[in-house]
Amino acid sequence: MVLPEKTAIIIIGGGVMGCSIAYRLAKAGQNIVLLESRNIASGASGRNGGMVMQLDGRDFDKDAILNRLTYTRKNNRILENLADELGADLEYTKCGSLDLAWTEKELEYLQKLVKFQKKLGDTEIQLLDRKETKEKCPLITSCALGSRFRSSDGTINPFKLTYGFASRAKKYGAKIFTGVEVKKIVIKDGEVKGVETALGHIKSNWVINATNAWAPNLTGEIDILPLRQVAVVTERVPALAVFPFEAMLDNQVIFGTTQTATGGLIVGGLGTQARKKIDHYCEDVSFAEIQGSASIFTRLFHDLGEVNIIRSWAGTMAFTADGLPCIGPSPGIKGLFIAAGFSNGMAFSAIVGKLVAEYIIDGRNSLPIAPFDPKRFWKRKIKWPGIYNYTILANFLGR
Amino acid sequence: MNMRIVEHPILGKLEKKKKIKLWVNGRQLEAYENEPIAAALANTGLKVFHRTQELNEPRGIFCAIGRCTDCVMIVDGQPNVRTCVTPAKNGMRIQTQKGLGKWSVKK
Amino acid sequence: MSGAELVIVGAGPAGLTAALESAKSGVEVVLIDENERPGGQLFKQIHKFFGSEEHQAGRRGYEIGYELLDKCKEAGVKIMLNTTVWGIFNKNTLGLVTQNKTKILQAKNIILATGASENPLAFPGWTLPGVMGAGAAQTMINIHRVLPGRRILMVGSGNVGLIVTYQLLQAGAKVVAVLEAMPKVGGYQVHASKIRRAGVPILTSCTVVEAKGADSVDEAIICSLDSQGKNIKHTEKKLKIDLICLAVGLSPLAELCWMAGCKFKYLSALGGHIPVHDEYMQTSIDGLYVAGDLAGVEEASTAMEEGRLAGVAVAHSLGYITKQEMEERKKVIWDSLQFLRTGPFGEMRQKAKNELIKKWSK
Repeated sequence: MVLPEKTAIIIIGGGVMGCSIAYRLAKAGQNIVLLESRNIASGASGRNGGMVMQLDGRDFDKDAILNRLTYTRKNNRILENLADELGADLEYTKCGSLDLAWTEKELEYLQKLVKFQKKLGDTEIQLLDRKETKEKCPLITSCALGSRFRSSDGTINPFKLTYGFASRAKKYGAKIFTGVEVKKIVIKDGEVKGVETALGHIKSNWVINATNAWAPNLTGEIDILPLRQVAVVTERVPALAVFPFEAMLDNQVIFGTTQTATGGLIVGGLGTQARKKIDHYCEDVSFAEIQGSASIFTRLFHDLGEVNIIRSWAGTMAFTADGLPCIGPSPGIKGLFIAAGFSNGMAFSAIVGKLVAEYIIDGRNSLPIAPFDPKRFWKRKIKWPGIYNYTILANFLGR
Repeated sequence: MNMRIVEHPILGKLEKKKKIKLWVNGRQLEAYENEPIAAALANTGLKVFHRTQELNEPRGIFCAIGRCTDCVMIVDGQPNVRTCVTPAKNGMRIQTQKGLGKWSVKK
Repeated sequence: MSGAELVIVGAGPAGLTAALESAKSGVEVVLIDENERPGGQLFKQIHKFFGSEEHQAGRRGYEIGYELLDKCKEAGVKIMLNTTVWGIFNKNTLGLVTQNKTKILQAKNIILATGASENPLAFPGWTLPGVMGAGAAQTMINIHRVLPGRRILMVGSGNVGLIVTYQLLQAGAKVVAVLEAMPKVGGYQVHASKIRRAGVPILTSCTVVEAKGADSVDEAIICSLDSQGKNIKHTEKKLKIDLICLAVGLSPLAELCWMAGCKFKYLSALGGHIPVHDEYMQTSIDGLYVAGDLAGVEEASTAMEEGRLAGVAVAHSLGYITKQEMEERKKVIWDSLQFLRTGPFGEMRQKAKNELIKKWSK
């Protein structure tokens, strides 16, 4: 494998963001080199359950809600036509999603939240009672008292999406190199000069850091936190849980579930009790975590009967202190662009590609990227909790 | 049909083992207790054990040691049972599985 | 570290001899197998083995199987049957499932002897009922005493293809032909001669092109191959058969090794991706050993020797035998392996093994 000596734009990271950006830029005629240390979709892009959720979380933060809604709505509109555009079936379904309530207290909370969201202009959100919830998704255990239902959410095949972007990007001339680790982004006198890899240097005036959970390793100034999650999948079963749903069990951890187009049921989440330091980049699953996932599975799908869990895995997504990603130029360094900090990548990937391409080529955006300015988390040295899992982090973020 | 190898030059005569009855797609069938369900069915010349989900194609025994799942059938209401490694017990109800089978969801 | 002194996964020839060798030195052994009874592929082998007297020459696989089993029971080996090991964690903890209950078992030493699985061969119609592995047919006839077909086409003339052909004849079936894609027979001449004498033609430079039938195979289309291995036009022939057996090699069942994080090396002479190991069968992970087909697809006789080797290494590692005893036993076993790996096939495998071990020896 021989790397080019120089190129117009270097994208680091072959996940859904990197590939989406590569696609847009290559389509616009730019010379792109994408460098991925492992394989396409090796990080969170290849480990998530494929949920396309416009709202991520249960916060009452007006700005965060409005920002997320605006961009994910635009994203979904692109997704609707993306299969044709990429020439690939992405298994995108717009079936809706459910956020379950297990206790009366939770149901009351969701009731208030739905009211709040409706006031902000969200016409697609609804509160369903126990009967309506069970009607929507018969597979959900009878213990669910009700749910928050969003009609325009859905599921997608994250592999097909990421590979779809990568494949098209290549067709438009992007050079994608896998198995190549970037050791350093070369910056001199406040300007990007290129990158150093294990296989040599590449000169460039533009470098896009799209490595999500690994972003701070290359760009030490950015405050993005990695978070490890675990998932299990079952053997193929008939389409029963078509609606992806999230649930918070024991006031502790949030679980997402989806059913793939081929029929496997995925349950992901399980922020284990963080009694000791977790290596958030560790992709091995422990026996206790599999056991834990299986028991959560039986609680979520109690009425299903016997089904085999056939695989388990762990992956690392990324968080920021306000729950919104970092998309924008890095302050004070000419040519370094950040597109990282995603915990809800599927709902953002299409719009991110568009926004980044617009910025780099036109210098302006169809939608403002100010809410995602990396400056807000630049050299902030946020004091993250030393030991954390999903719950601790959620509390820390004030959700 | 009977595909049983009764006399064998090395293994000798087939041992007398306890016979049991199975229900296969509604019909009664004889089998040896604890032999794999697939063996009892193959003995009758049965070839199609299930049909695939999308294209409804026939599938039968392929690896015979519980690895490939081509021999799965519905046994006593449970789909995806690997018949080549599941011992036959008296009174078992076995059905050809169509696609992913029916999974009963309790109301 | 706590846990059982030695847990062996797989009670085929390698697992059984590993259990016996370590148990006789005093090790407390737990031997696990997912089947109803141990013995692995030994119980299907109704033919007489080769080699010298000490290598069980002239004895049938299943006889050896029963004997090893009895000896293990006598030596106090704890045998867990109908138990599947589905995961390995932290390099020393096994996840088991038995009778629909999940258990966890920690071990100071683990020997993986999980064997190998048959390779598929894809061609139009290969998914029809009536196309199965040669090993699968062997299981049906020798263990379950059921003939899976009456007019059979065997694809592949390696030792498995030739031996199973003979065993199908013994079971009362007709084998219409044995196909071999290469220009010459893959297995030992003695096996090939035996089936030719019985009237089975071996067609070299020949392959199966399609399996036809409505709900099961009733016809096979075969054709000749040129020196580049490409189909020669207009040489297609139809064969009326009701069973096609695929004898196209085996690949190690190495999932537990992958999960544990062992290093691998690709060696086609040994069947594919092989977990790297040293001359004592220890992998790149301390305390984790491999033996038998998992460590490279060979034969039952070599599997038994490798099992012994791993057993010796563990016995020493736990302090039951001295270094000198270990080295002495190792020499005897290696001499034996050298003897078994003679002839063109054996030499190829020995070379591949040497390459593997050279990479990893301490």
